[in-house]
Amino acid sequence: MRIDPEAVLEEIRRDDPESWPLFEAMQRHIPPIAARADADAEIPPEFWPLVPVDLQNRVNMPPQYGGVVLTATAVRRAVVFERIGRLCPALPIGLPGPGLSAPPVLALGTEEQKVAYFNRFLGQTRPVWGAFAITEPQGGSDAAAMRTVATRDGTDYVLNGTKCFITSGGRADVVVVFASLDPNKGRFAIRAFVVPRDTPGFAVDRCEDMMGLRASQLATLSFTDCRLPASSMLGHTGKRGPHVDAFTGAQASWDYMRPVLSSLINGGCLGMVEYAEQCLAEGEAELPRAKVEQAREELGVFRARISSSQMLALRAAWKFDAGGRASTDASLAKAFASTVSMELAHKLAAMFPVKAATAGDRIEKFYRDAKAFDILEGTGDMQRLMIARAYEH
Amino acid sequence: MSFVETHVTSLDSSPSPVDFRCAPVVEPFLGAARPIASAIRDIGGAEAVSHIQQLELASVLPELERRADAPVLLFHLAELLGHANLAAAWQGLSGIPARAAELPASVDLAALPDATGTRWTAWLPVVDAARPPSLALAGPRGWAPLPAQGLTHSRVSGLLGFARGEVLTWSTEPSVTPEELGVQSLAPESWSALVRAQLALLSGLLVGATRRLVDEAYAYAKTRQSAGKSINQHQAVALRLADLALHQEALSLYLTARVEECRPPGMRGGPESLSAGYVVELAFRIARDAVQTAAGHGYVEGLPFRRLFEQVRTLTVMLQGTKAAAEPVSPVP
Repeated sequence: MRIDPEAVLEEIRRDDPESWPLFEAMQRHIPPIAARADADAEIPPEFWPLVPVDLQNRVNMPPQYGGVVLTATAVRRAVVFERIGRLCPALPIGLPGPGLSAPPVLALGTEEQKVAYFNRFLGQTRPVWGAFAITEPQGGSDAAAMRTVATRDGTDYVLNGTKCFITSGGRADVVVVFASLDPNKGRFAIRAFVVPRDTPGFAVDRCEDMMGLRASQLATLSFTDCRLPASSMLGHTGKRGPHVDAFTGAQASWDYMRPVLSSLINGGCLGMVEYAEQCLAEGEAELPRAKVEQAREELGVFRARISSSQMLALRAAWKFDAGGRASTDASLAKAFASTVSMELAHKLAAMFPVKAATAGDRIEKFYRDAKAFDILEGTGDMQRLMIARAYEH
Repeated sequence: MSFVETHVTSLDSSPSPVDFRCAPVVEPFLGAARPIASAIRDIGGAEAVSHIQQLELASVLPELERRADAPVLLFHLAELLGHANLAAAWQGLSGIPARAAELPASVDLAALPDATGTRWTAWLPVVDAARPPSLALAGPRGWAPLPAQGLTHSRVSGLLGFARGEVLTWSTEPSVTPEELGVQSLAPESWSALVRAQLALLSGLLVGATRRLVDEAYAYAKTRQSAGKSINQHQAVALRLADLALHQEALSLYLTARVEECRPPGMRGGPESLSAGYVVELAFRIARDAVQTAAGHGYVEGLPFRRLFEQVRTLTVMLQGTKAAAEPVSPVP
C-alpha cells in the first residue's frame, strides 16, 4: 500500500502547468469569501475576477472533452478537493462546472451528445453550472417511485414533474433530468434528458434556505409541458432511445462524486482539527486548564479517525480509476467521512461552546455544514444499506 | 540462496503515489501462508502451531528486517492466520518479534516495559508446563535474561479469551542498577525492530480477528430467521452489519497504513505512531456489534463470537501496552 498525496500534487504541478494556477487561486481566494458566501447563500461576485473562470468551468470534466488535467483522475480529484476542503468544505460544492451532471453524460450519452454537452463549459468568461436532478419531493433513493414523466409526442418528449434538493439548481445553465417513460415499469423505464435552462416550461421554483452548505443553492425545479427533442435523451441515436435504463448513469455519478465529496469532508475535518489545536495553543479553550490536555488527546484521536477516512476515500478513488466496481467503496468512504464530521462538530462544540454559538465563527459554521454531509448525495442510512447488501455476497 | 533472495520481488522503481495493493515484497509469503490458514481454521492449538512453524519465519524475518520489510510481512501474515485461528496464530507468531530484534536464539519471548521503565510485562498465549518459555526483559537501552536478581515476579493465570494463556510481570525498585539486572546492550535499531514487530504482530492479529467477527456476523445474520425472513433483511440489523463492515475497513486501512509507513527507510510514522485509543475504540465497536448481531448465541460458548470478543479485548490491552513501551520516555534497562 502506498499513499502519498504530496506526490500526487507534485505530479499535477509538473504535468499540468495550465490548471495548477486554478488550484493556487482557489486556495488563496476561497478562505476570504467563505463566511460571506455562507451568509449570503451565494458565491460573492468579486470571486470571479480572482480565479481563472474558464478553467473553473472545466473542473471535474474529462480532459478528452476539454476538462482540466487537475481533476483528470479520481485520485487527483480526491487529493485536490481534500486540500480545498481544509479551507472550507462548503463553498466548493457550489463552484461552477458540470459537477454531478458529467458522469451520466459520460456513461449514457452518445459521442455527439458528450461533445455538445461539454462544449457548453468551454471558452466561457462567466461561470457556467451544470446540475443533476433525480430526487423528487416524495422520494429520493427509490427510483421506482419516480413521478417525473417524459411522454413521447411525435419526435419529441414532453417532460412534467418536480425535482428537489438540486445542487446549484438555481443557477444551472443546463440540467440532466431523470424521468420515467412509464411509471408502471419501475427503474427500467427511467431515462435521462439534457434540459437547458431556457427551455420553455422549466422553472426554478425556489432555492432552499439551508442550515449549512448555503452557497450551493439547493433548488426545487419544475418542468411543465417541457418539450424536448428526442436528441435530448442521453443515449438516443436519433433513430431510437437506449435500451438500458438511466439508473446506471445515476450510480456512475455517485461513484464518481462520493470519493470527491468524502475527500472534501475529510479536508474540512482536518482544517477544523488544525483550527481547534491552534485555538487550544492560543489559550482560547473554554475549558478548565486540566481538561485542555485531554482535549488535545481527543483531537489526536480525531486525526486518527480522519486518517481512516482519508484512506477510504482514496481507495474508492483508486478503484474508480482502475476501472473496478467502486460503488461499495464509495459508500464506505461517504458514510465514514460524514459520520466523523458530525462527531467532530459535536466535540468541537463541547470544547468551544461560545464559538459554536457565535454566528460567523468557523466552529459554528462547521456545526451546520457537517450535518448536511450525512444527507446529501445519499444519506448515511442509504449508504449503510448498500454496504450491508454488498457484504452479504 | 535464501528464501528472501529467491522470492522477494523488488518494489517498482516508479510506483504510483496511491496504490492500495499489498506490498509486492510480502506476496510470496502470503501465497505460502494461504494454504496454512485454510488448514488451521478448524484444528486445535499444537497441530495448528506446527503448521505455522512450517513458514520458518524466524529465519526470514531478520533478513527482511534489514530491508525494513519485516513488520509489513508480519502484519499481513498475522492478519491472514489470525482470521483463520487467532489463538494458534498468536502462539505461532509470538516469538517472532524477538527474532526481528536479533535477540539470542535462546530467548523465546521478550517482556516489554511500561512507560515508567520499572515494570515489564510478558503475554503468553499458551503456557506449556513441560517446556516453559525462555524469557528476557527488553528496553530501549538493553536486554536482560531472566530470571534475574532484584526483581519482583508475579503471574496472572487465565488470560481473557485464551484458556491456557498467562500474563507475567516483573517489577524493580529504582535503586536496582542495570548491572545488577545483568543488562546486556541492545542497539537502538534492535529495540525499534522489537517494538515495531510487536506492534505489527498485534495489529495484524487484531485486523484478522475483527475481520473474522464481521464474517461470522454476516454469516449468522444470513441464516438466522425472524418474522419469516433472515435477520439481515431487517433494517435495524442491516444498519448494524454495515457499521461492522465500515469500522472493520477503517481499522484495517488505518493499521495497514501505520505498519507500512515504516517500510521506506526514514519515512515518518511507523507503527509506533498509531493512536491506541482509536484502535481500541474501533475494535471494541466491532466486537460489541458482532456479539449483538448473534444476541444470546453470541454471548454463550458455541459460536466463535464470545471467544473472539474476549480475545479482541486482550489484544487491545497488549497493543496499548506495547504502544506505551514504544513511547520515547521508556527509560531502562
